[in-house]
This record gives sequence, C-alpha cells and structure tokens, in this order.
Amino acid sequence: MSSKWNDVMGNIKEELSNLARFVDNTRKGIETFETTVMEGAERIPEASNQLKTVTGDLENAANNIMTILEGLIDENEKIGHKVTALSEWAQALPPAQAANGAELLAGIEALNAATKQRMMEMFGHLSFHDLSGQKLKKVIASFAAVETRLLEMALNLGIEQGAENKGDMLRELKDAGAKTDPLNQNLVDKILKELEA
Amino acid sequence: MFDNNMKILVVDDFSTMRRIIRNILKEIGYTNVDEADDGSTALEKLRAAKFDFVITDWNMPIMPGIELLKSIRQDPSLKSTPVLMVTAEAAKENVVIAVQAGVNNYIVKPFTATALKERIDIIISKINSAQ
Repeated sequence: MSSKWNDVMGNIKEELSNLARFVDNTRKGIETFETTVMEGAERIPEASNQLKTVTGDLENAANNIMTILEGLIDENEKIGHKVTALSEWAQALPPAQAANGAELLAGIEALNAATKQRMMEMFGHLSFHDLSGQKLKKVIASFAAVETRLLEMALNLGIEQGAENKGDMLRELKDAGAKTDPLNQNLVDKILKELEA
Repeated sequence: MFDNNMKILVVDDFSTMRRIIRNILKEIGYTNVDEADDGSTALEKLRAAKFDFVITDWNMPIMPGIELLKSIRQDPSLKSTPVLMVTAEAAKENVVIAVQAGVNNYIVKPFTATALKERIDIIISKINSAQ
C-alpha cells in the first residue's frame, strides 16, 4: 500500500514539475514576445522619420536639378536669339558666303532645338520625385498601421488589468489606426511611458 | 477664352511636380499659371478669381483631386471649368471614377510636353466644337 502511495506521489511530483517548467517557459516566451513587440514599436517611428528624410532629400535633389535645367533652358533660348541675329547678319554677306553661313547657322539652330527638347524630357523625368514620394507616403502609412497594432498588443500584454487609462489609450490607438497619417508621437510616448512604469 | 494667355491653376502637393508642370506649360506657350498644394486651397483660389483651366493631381492630402473635381462640378460658378487630371493612378477604375465625376481628360505621370499639349488641345477643341 505504502509502495503504491509512493508511486502515485512520485507521478504527481513529476507532473507538477513538468507543469512548472511549462509555465516557466511560457512566461519567458511572453517576456521575449513583449520585448520584441516593444522593440518593433519603438523602431517604426524611426524608420518612418528616415523615409520622410529620404523624401525631403529627393525633393531637394529634384529642385537643384530643376534650377540647373531652368538656367540651361534660359541659355539655350539666348543662343537661339543670337543665331537668329547672326542669320540676319549673314544675309548681308556675298551670296556664296551667305549660303554657307546660313547652312552652318541652320545646323546650330537644329542642334539647339534638339538640346532643348532633351532638357524638356529631363523635366518630365524629374517627376520621379513625385512618383517615388507617393510610394514612400504609402509605406509610411503602412508603418503607422503596423505600429498601431504592435502598440495595441503591447498594451494588452504589458499593462496590468487595473491600469486606469488602458481603455482610453486603446480607443485612441483605434482612432489613430483608422487614419493614414503617422501615429501621433505624443500618444506613442504616453504609451511607452506607461509600459515602462 | 482659350488662348495662350488663359489662366491655369496647377494643383499638386509636391512642389517639384508643380514646378515641372509650370515649366512644361511655359514651353508649350502658357505662362499665366498659378499654383495650389491641395484641393481645398485650389477651391478657395478658384472661388476668389477667374481661372480658365485646372490641372490637378489625384493623390493629395486634405482634399484629393477627385474631390476637387466633384466640388468644381457641383459649384454653379465653376462647373464649366475644364479639368485635366494628372496622376500616377493608372488603374482603369480610377479613370472610370474620374470620367464619371466629369473630368475632361486624364494624363499619367511621367509625361512629356508634347503629351500635355495634346491633352490640353483635345479639351479645348472639344469645348470649342460643343459651343
């Protein structure tokens, strides 16, 4: 009887030990998950800011190129006026020289026109800033949506049930998630501060 | 009304795009150009002064181009203003939505001076032949 009792107790002890290990592993898993969620939530605003900087840099670069292009087009038009003046002057030359001069000037005029056309094509291609900027805006909006979800998870995992303003913060997050604008930094800071407490 | 001195409003949230369109318009002979950076600013400008032509982007904050277009068509004093939609949205459904909202023509970025001139000419020609 005593031997059977000892066996039962041994089995119960082993089962309890297994259960304790399972609970400990789960707790560690949740802690790791919380850390991962928080790290992710903290990095997203940084990534969004970097993308905004890229958009700004692209805008500056495009504007600088356009300033140079506008200057080149202006000079191109001045060359056109000078060629026209030279053509008029060449008409006063002896016929053989006038014909030769007119041919040369027509060649310069054609080159000038082709150059201007290429510069205008460059203007059109500078809309890459607008096209890439719109795509980056969509990426930033997606980051904001992911950030909202991560912070919702962080709130549910990291704040004690009795936390007074948890419900308010979840509502604010839900509202922010419905918008395409990046998440309000004040709300993020408030949540992060709450979780650290 | 539709001569080289017609007053054109260019609406785009990207300053670079407004500058590109302004330069292309200058190249094809239109120099009387004003700018707005979103639909609501454009609407204010349109109600404050007479414009002969609107060139607008689709994707803009506050008021997108499609909403601007709808507002123009609903306003008795603006409804006949020609609107050319300039956008990166090449999806068929977007074109359909724009047409249903009353857009006069639709051009996809990036575009050349020739392509923009063609679109403007088509719009002017259609309006002139309808009068």
